[in-house]
Amino acid sequence: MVVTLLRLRFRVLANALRRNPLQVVAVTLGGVQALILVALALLGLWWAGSLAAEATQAVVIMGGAVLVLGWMVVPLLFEGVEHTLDPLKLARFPIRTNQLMTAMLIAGVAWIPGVATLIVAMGTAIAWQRVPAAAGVALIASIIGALTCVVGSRLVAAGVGILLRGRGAARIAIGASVIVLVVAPVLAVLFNGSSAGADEPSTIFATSVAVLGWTPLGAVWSIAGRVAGETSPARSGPAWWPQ
Amino acid sequence: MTVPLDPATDPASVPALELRGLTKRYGAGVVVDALSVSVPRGSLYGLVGPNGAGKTTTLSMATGLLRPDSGQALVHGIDVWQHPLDAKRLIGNLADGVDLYDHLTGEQLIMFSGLLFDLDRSTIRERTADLLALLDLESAAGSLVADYSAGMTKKIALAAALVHSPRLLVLDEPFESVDPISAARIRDILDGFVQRGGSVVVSSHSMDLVQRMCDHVAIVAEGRVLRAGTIDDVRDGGDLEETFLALLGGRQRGESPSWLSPS
Repeated sequence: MVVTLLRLRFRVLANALRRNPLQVVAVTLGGVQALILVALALLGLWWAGSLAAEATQAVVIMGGAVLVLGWMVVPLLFEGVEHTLDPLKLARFPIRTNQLMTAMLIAGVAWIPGVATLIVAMGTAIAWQRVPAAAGVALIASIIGALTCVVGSRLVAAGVGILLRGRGAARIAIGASVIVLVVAPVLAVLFNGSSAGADEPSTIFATSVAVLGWTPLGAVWSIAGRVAGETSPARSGPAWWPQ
Repeated sequence: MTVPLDPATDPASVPALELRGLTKRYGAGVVVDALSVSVPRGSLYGLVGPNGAGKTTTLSMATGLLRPDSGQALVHGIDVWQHPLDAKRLIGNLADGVDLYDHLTGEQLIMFSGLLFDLDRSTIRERTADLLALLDLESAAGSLVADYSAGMTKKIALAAALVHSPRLLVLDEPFESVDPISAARIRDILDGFVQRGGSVVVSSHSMDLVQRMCDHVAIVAEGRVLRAGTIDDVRDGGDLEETFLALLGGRQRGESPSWLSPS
């Protein structure tokens, strides 16, 4: 059944592309853009690997959290959610929920944004190449990370879709509130801390990264860094290190 | 490939579809209000009512598309919300307003419907050819459903609803914006389906059509059944439309505004 659902998704995609040559151009451009972004992200991760371990960890967590957040918010703003495997459309067929969920998950990864995300996620292993154990863990965690992106995206799209069946303005409002809800506290801590001058801004930043490393957005991206913190004997880690 | 029904647990007296006290609320409003209907086997049952009467909501709850707030829907004795997979195998569903995969060709749409009902490929191929011929869609089999006319779209949706050989067909507004030729073809197919022991429920706001086509009818308004039974019982010697208007408080004979006089 999962195979049938995936075939359905890609048959619809192929037919849509064949019907509309402009869409082929759009997909090609999207692919090129994704390639560039992936290359830049991998370069960034390679650079992050040359920093001190805590800085590497901060870059990976921040980048990963932005990635997850992007998956949740961007489709809301651009109506880019893929509707082929919409549970409503398939409700008349005898399909088990877990079959549909599995198919949706695979379909989410197996297209340009999903593949790009998976490659970048696996690239966190480059950032941790100095600690082989951590690099290995990073590879495994990257799959969970990519799936987190897809599931998060579906979760938000489904939740919002139920709340407001395709009302554009409200859709943007929700997208904006998600950004505000998640990003604002981090920014608040940053700016509040620096303007008050009570603490070193870098400490405040470090604290927010450590907190982010425990949220659903950042947790999966912090795993490899935690392993690196455990296994590198020279470094016990600073006070803010996610424990 | 249909689910074998055990005569011991599914005697002929069990209705093809039985709705017991189905209720759906949206906010403060009650869309479907403790609605009960029993569709005997082998009947062509019409569900008529004005727009907003709750017909689509009722049929969605009856076929496992929309969870009722309370009440039960039984298809050949199987509770749709307790055993949704078993129930859905018995139902051919042509829902109004649920998009088809219009980026599939007509042929692909039927074939995927068969695959999603777990039919094997050779069965699907055979039935797809039969259905395309039956609905006079052979020449359009290779075109995308997005390019179909309204009548062709309804016909291909009907074909996709028939491919798993259901026992109960539930059609929401099957004749909406359908040309007379396509409508006649759909009616022939429904008649044939009933003659072979299937049961059909259609919703419509065309009294005339229901009166000519159906043997049973339920008149629904504001989420409740006002009257139900065989067509002859319900119209009681009169005309179904007259009965309907009388039940709904009569025709509004308002005075037209004075400017509405072209001469």
